[in-house]
Amino acid sequence: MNVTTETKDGALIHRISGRIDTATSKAAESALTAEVKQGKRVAFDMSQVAYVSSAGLRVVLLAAKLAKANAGAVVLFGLQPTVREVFAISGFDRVVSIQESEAAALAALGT
Amino acid sequence: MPRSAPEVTALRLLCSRDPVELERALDAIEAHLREAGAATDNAMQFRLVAEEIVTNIARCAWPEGETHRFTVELAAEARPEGVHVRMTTVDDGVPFDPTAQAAPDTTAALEDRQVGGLGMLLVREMTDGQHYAREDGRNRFSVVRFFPHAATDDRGGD
Repeated sequence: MNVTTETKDGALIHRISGRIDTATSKAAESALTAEVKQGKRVAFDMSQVAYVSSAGLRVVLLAAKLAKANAGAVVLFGLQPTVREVFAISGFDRVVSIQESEAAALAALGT
Repeated sequence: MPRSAPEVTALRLLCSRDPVELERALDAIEAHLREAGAATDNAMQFRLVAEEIVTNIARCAWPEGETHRFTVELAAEARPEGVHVRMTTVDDGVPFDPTAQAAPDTTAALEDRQVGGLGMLLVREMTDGQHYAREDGRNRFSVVRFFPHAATDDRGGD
């Protein structure tokens, strides 16, 4: 897993690639929660993520909870079909904001 | 005329609780399914199922810090219509029936959402069948999944 971060229209975008699983969840947690802890508004670009297991869902849930607790926001976009299926089974598509495109994600962040 | 029996390829792995070794086992499972003719997406979906099962055993089957091993058997049967996969894990840890676990509340609000139990929910939803038995002091857990060969537009949304 790899994460690059950029700023666009006043929002942060974490562009994630690879797997978010048991082996990478620790690195994912530190890379994907540092900014939301500070109340930043962050979009996760999931278009290069082909695999999210329950260990990865845990990181997403943590990021969403931290965002809420710190008056920030997290929006995901670009989920591949197999990843979307995992979010649907777990019901995470109802507690985490998921948008189709980067533009929609940035609009949802209201930046 | 010789009858063409379905080709079954089997993989047997002896795993420790070491995360690096588990990762290698998952790589081997995914590669095995690809070689058996499973599509990339399908091999990855099954890797996810395997990850949830083996990490659960590695973490929870024995007291923390103890060294133990368990086996993972994977059989992939290439049929004309698709690939049939069966994975069985055998461990001598504490009795644990994955099929008897309560499903987590997937409708809870964000604040109340927990991650416990999600792994086994994914296993149940992403396989066609699960079977558990406690035999001779061992947990024996099998899952099966059939991956049809891709037809046109077979992955439409719902």
